[in-house]
Amino acid sequence: MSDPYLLLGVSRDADDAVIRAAYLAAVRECPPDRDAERFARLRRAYDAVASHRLRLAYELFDREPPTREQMLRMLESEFSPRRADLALLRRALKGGVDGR
Amino acid sequence: MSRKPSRPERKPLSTAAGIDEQEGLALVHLEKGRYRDAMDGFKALLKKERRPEWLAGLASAYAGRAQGLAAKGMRREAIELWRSRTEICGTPLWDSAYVGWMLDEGRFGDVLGYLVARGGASGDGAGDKSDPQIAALEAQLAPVLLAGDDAAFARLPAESLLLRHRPAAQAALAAYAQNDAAALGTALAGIPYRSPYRDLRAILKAMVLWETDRDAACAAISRLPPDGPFERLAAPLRAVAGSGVEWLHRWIVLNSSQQAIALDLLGCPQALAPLLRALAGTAEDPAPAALFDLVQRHSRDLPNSLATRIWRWLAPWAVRRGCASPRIFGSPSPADEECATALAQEIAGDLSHAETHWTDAAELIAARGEADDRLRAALILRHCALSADNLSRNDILGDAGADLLTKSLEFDVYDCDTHIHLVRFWRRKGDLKKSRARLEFGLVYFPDDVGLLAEAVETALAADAFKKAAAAARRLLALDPLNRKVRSLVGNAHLSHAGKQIAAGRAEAARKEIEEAATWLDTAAEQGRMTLLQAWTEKDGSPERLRLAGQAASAWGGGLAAGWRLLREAQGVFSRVGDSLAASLQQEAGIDVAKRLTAADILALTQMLDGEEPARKGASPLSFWRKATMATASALEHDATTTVGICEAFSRHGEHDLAEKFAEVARKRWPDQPIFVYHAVAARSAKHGFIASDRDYDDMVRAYRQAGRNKDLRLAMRIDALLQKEEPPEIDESMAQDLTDLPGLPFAVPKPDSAAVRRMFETVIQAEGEKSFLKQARKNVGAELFERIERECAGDRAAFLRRLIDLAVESITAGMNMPPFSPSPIVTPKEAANGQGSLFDE
Repeated sequence: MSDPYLLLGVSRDADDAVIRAAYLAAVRECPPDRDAERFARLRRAYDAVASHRLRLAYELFDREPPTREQMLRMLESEFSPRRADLALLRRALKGGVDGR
Repeated sequence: MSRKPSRPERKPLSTAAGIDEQEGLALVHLEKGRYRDAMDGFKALLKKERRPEWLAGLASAYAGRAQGLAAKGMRREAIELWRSRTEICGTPLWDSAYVGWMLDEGRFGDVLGYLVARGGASGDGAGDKSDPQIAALEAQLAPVLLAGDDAAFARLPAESLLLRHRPAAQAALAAYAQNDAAALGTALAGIPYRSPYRDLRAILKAMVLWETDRDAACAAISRLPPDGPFERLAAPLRAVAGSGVEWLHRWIVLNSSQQAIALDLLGCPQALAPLLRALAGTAEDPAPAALFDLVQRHSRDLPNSLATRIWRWLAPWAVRRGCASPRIFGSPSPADEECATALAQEIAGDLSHAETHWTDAAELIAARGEADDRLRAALILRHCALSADNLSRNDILGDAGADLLTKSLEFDVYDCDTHIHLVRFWRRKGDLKKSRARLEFGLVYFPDDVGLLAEAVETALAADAFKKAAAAARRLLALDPLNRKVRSLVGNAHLSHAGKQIAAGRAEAARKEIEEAATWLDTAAEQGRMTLLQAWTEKDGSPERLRLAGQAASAWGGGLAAGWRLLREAQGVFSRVGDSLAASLQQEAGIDVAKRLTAADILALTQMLDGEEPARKGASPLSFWRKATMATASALEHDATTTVGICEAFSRHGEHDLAEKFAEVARKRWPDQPIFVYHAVAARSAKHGFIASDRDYDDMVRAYRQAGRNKDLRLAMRIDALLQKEEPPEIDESMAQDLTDLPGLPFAVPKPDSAAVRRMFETVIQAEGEKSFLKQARKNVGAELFERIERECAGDRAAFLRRLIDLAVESITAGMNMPPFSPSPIVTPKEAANGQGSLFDE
């Protein structure tokens, strides 16, 4: 996985503070002495998107082939959670022929 | 119902073996999940004797088989098999699995009938005495009855918990759907722990928590058993709790209602469900073009802004589909199209075309009024400026790159690296005035940037402005006290001046400079240089001079390396270092010039050469030692890797004879290593200016092939570059002109015909597009004239092109060539003026 946003576990519209917090949390979870390779990947990811300027450059010049996971992340960026309506909930509870 | 596929014929168990063996075989079938064989086995055994353990075995085989059928969706068959199991084995019919299948098949009435027949249902008063089987059955019925109509409850007794807690459960469900937190809290409080609806409480709470704290919601839902009665409602939350594509895999196996609930939990528009299903069905890593096609098929379901964003992201990877047909989905702007095409060209490795599209994109983006657009334009120009096309092999910025960087500062000045690049560029060009102007401009925005201050030091030193250099260096060292580069720069500048004072016979002034240098320099090599210059300020033959010279040689490790270093210094100080001076200087430093060189001496010299820049002028300091060094090459005592390093070092410092000698000896010793062939031929070629013999050329071709076989790409490229240099020179226009002017030619060479040249340009434009022609034209005619013509043509593209072609044709037919090469002026350090008290005294 080479998408820095995926690697750091942040959304594409995350700001500097969120990205830094995610990076520090990831490093705490996996310090360099435990997994140097993963740490290097995290560091590269952070260096690629740490600031607004870098994120704009990443958006313009990123040459990593797109993946299905990135595609999902892109779709997810447009999601805004809401609640299912009562009829749908009742239908799911009722199960039926296609219920599991 | 026929059995498919038909089972292979098996030998009857009764004839296969004895009872013990038959029992063992049936148990093995059961353990391995071959339930049909196990059933046959136990049935055969039961025909002989009705043993309880065989009956239990048969019941287990029936159960396994029924569950297998149900898992395949064959619930009716599973129900029938379960009933057979009860009839044959006497096991209870109303097991939870059986009830589940019945409910899934919509046979609520049967289940309810059984419940009522079993003595109604548990009530509040039943307490701990309630039958756990009945409680489990009620829990299984609860979700169905919660969603069912009231008529279904008519048969239940009034005290049934199913009935009594149903209103609270319904209210909770409705309150969740209506996002009414207060009502939800009240309703959930009305569902006690012993209620058949108790799992609903946990699920609804987790679903609410999902909106604010996803991790906590995941933890809450994971605490519920996955085979609970309300799993139908919990499953969507379990699905979306996965990360990455994991949730997609879990989501795809849900039923349609559950999928819809999961999408609501995620906030995904229901219209995107087909796209998600298609994505779930693709390979793990679909090709970018396949992904593009997939999105395109569902692009109508995407909001326009998202479609455009996805197009921008995918189009460079699907050139034929994307960039060529930009409106295939979404509505990308012309700037988006240019960016996508540029990136596509870059991915394809066509940097030249990519730059044309990038610069067009930058113009379009800068013209937009959106926030960040000016920054985007600047980033694009910087990207182009620092691309391989605009950098030399040593990563030095070219003129076009510098133009792009300068233009980028019009859009965004807050990029320190750009200021540094431009300061360095102008300094390297020798235009210190422009370098200083860039520096001052950069320092306005980055007054405390260490990199820019280092450039300030270097620029000041290049202009011999020692006070400024020292001031900038002090400012830098206050910010970065460990900056060795700047210390070295300033200290060595003082030493260079000390050398000049020594040459001018001003020993006192030189000492002052050396003292000043001592405050900056601290490494052993630098101390050596300082001590040597100090020695040369002393009188010839004085004990102090001898002592200091010896000390300097010791600081450099003595021997050949120290001798080389000493002579290099001497070349910088004394006007002419002949053999006699070289010998006496080395002698007074205690270097034994008659000593036979060893492998260690050569190694020390190589290390010294690696750390030093090649001399720009004058005889090589090694000339004095060349004979002895050659002798060590004959008895090569180094390994192959070290010998490569020796050849590289000699080659870098222009010691081609030595490089050739070492390479030739190494080539004989390690004939399988093409690097030595390269060094030997490259050294000879450097001496003659070309590959002098066919044999060398053939050897190089063989070495090239061998490097390719060894996958040594770097060596292959170096050999290729050397062979390329050997191509016959191309006949340029001026030569063609000369040929046409020759009076006595036996044939007539036609002069360039303007119509033919025009046709050539038009063909090129037609084939390659206008962009590269316009870019070249801008370079040739200059930006000012180019823009003037553009203004004059007032948007008439054809007229604009015609004018530019006219100019190009005119320049060619008039015999105009490239302007003569004018090397950048080299700024030589100023000589210290007579009477100059201090080198800081400008």
